[in-house]
Amino acid sequence: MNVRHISRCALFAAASLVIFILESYIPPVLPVPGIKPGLANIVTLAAVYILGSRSAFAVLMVRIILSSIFAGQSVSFIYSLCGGLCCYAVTIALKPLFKERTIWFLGVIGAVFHNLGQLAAAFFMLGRASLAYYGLILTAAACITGTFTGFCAQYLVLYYNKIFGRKYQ
Amino acid sequence: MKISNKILIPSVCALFAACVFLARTLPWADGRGAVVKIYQNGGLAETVDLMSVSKAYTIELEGNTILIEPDGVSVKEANCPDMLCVRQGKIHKPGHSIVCLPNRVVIEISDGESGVDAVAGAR
Repeated sequence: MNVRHISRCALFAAASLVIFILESYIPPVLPVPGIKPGLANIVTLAAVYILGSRSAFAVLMVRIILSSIFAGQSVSFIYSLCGGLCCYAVTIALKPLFKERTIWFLGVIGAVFHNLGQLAAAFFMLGRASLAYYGLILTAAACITGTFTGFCAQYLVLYYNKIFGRKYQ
Repeated sequence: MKISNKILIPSVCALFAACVFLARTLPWADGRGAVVKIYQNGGLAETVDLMSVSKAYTIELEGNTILIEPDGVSVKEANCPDMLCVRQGKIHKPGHSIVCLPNRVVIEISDGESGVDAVAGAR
């Protein structure tokens, strides 16, 4: 853990925070709450590959805590946290299986599990079974948005490694 | 195990298609938690929780016979000439409604609790 590494973590955290806040200004495409591009996950996913799992966790937590202070309401913190942790756990678990040209798939998986985590939080807080239907719609949306963010992260990782010549951690 | 894009791309497409297919075909999925409210002459005449309905039955109103089924509500018979309410068929989604103007009957499906979408919409 040297200064260079800490600076990089801070840079990633700042980038994901800015992306997250800018994204919240994008008007929703569909009249379903919860569907959004999830662009901040580009940074989280790239951080998992570039900075390593543990540093990526720090980046994620900093982003969630600061974003709920800057841009969210108090309720959104719990949803963000559940979604983020769910997404992170699955990404870390599957990371060894996906390298180079298949990194984008973790974007899809991450997006799906982010939504499922949020839905689980909503289920515990609201206790309604109709959320099952909602989950299907969110998963379908996550397939599209996750593919996009996943490819963004993949090209970011590949480009980063090309420039800095670093191997996967 | 080598995982290649040849497997991943079709699997993402399949997941997407499966979700869209299930969301469109499962009638129960979004009928759950829905409460049917029947109004006549401006007042609330009947409230039915679709979750608690296991067998189809009818409700007789003045001029209309309303059929309540586990997966939705429809108007079975009406004494009005145009039968518009009967032709509107079965509804089950929160927010949908059947209106019978001649008999002043409104059947409305409401979300069990209010304000849920506003909370779920939070980031």
